[in-house]
Amino acid sequence: MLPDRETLRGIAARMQGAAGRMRLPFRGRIWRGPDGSWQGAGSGSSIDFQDHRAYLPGDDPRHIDWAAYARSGHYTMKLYREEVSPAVELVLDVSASMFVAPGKAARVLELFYFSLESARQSGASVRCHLLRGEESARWPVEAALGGDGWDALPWRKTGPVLPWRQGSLRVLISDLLFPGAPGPWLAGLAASRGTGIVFSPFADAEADPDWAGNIEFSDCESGRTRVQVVSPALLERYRTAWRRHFALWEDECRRHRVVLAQVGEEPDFLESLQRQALPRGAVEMAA
Amino acid sequence: MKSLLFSNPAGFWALLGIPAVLLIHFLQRESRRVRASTLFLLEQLAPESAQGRRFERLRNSATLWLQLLAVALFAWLLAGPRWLRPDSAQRVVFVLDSSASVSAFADEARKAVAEKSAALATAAARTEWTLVESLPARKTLFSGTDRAAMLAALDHWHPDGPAHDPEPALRATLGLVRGRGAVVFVTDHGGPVPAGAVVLAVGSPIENVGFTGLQTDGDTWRVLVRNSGQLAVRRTWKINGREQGTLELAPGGMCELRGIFPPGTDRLTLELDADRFALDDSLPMVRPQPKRIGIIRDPGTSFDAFFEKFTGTVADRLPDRRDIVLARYDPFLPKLPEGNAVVVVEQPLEPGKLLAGSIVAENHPLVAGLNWQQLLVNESFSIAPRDSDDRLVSQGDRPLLLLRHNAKGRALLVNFDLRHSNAAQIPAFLLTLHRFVESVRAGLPDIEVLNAETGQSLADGSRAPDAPGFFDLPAVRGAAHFADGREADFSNASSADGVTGTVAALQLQNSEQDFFSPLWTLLLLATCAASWAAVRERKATKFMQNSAPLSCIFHTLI
Repeated sequence: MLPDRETLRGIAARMQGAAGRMRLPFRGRIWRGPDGSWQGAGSGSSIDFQDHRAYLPGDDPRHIDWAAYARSGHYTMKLYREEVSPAVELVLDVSASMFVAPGKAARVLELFYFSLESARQSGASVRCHLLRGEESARWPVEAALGGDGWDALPWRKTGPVLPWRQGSLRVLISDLLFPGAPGPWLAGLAASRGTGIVFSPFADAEADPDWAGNIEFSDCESGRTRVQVVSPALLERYRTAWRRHFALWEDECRRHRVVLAQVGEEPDFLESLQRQALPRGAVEMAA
Repeated sequence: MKSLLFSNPAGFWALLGIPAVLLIHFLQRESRRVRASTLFLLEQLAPESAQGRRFERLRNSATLWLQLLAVALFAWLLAGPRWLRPDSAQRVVFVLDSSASVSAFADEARKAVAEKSAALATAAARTEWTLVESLPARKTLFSGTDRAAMLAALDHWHPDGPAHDPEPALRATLGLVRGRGAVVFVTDHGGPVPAGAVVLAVGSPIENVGFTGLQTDGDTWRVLVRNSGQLAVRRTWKINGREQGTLELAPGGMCELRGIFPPGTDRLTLELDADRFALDDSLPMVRPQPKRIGIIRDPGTSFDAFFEKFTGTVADRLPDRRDIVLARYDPFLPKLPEGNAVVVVEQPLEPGKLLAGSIVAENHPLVAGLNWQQLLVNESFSIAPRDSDDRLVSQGDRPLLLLRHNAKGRALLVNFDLRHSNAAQIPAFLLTLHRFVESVRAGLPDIEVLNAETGQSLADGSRAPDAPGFFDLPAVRGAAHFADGREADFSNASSADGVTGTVAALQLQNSEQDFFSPLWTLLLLATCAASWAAVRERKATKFMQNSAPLSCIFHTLI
């Protein structure tokens, strides 16, 4: 399924640098979670002024604006913005189609480790999940960074809704190449006031194949074979079907307020992100 | 305007590479296997699996067109395009073998001449055609620039002559050509020809059975039949169209037929079942009636015994006619007989010593080719020669044999005494006497009836016809039959074509190289390089896995 530990570590190390140039889109959103450095939903103890309001019994007297009391004789509370650490749920689809071509497999792992490093460097609370059809498994972050233990995880049947944390950022890395309807999956991503991002890596040979003539197709997941004469007309219809498949996903993503970014295997990683993910808001430039 | 020709038309065989390339491209992706992640998309488009075919539809690819262009350019360069010079001229002489054996292949020869002349015509802008036979005595059949007329003149070629050496005719025509054209000897067998000439042989070993000789003796006739082929054969034979029997002949075997002329019948025609060589399949013959000659001897001479003996050796004599007189010359009564005579000097006295000096014979038909050096003659009286005499043989200043013309004929004067000479014992003297008698016989006004071989020279200077049949000439009547066993034997017949190479040589001589040849070569190299680059552009491993073996070989080659 996944490559060996050294390969994974190498990619992880490379993505540390990439996460310094770009990151997941934490900015401009209201997060919930433990204390951190990102704008939270409530008031807190940061130095960013948020609002004034009348004192209510039980309020912390340390936050009474004494200057305002001197001017008005009323107790007025001075509120500051809360700063939290976002919760990030990172889901990696590890079905065989994700690794059907070397270029695509590399891009899949780059996206995973980029997202992981980006969340870590932003101080987010990260959880990694591996997804295999209807089953999922939690992959500890430290193990994921070390490329260890992925082959001995306890898999559980979870369906499209994983045990998300409330208000978390859910990052799904999947090629979306399965015949089912996208709705349940996207609804799962957006559940519990979550924010969904889907990175969909693809290989050029999938989007624009050079098939012609007699071809014996072998399904990379089921091993099923099919002999097909591919004419230019059939090839053109296939390309149309590919575009229609992702157009359908895109429509569904818009409906569920999930960001979808297709990331090709070419060119290099940062340039791909800049071209294909940045305009869609799936990533942002690091400060 | 310049004409285009090809120095190596066989180079166009390279165009077979085009179907080969197409076949390779048809087979190219026959066994391609793909590991796919989007099979569900494909299954939605084509729910039914279409089974693969051995040959897939041709793909319109740059590689295909580059390879086809490369093959076409290669074939073009291999064919050697050249441009004929508009001022080029040549002379082509076809020397047609007049031998009778070629008649068995006359149609093949005409076709070959038509075909090869068409090829030769492409070798120069203007061609002068000449058609001659290999027998120098025969007239030129055609000379001109119209090839169609030359081919029509082939109908006047009737190969019925005897076996002969074609070299004189070939050498004469080589002088006409002088290196600016070709001399083609059209025959039925190969063989050496003078340098500069080429052989166009159209023969092949064939079976032949035919008459090969005739002998008549009074009313009886004998005929030989020969099987010149390699197989045993059976033939029926006929006389004047009536079947007489069947002959069975082993390979190379002969048999004799004999018969008599029925009373009242002077002409017969023997026939055999027809085969491809027709000249010896019929044999016309006549009951021979030789021309007879009367020889009278002077009585009471010293040479009676010699005269009688000689007269006995002359055939077909008439006892009571005086066509030739055998007489003596008496020096004391010097008188020569009128008309045709053989006169011998009679020495009344003892002869002198042997004559000295070298013996010289003139170039005269009566003594030509005879050896007189053994002749010994003693000194004797002599007949005084006249200026009008033909000196046939002399020793020193002394004429030994003279031919004197008189009002009624000719006299052969033997100017020495036979008794004092060894002339009666040497062949040259006796042959001279016989030649004289035969020349007199030929001059007789009677008509001779004889059987002759085709083309045979007859005594009156005429020739028998070249084709078998009866003939009726002013002085001779008779039948001519074919009897040349060499021409009837086809075991050495063969075919050969020396013209094709000559055409190529003449084309080179009369043309100049295509100006654009270097450009085509560069284009070919560029096409090969582009094709190679196009192939390299594909993923090499994928290509090698998916391509058929033939395709791999092709691409490895280019």
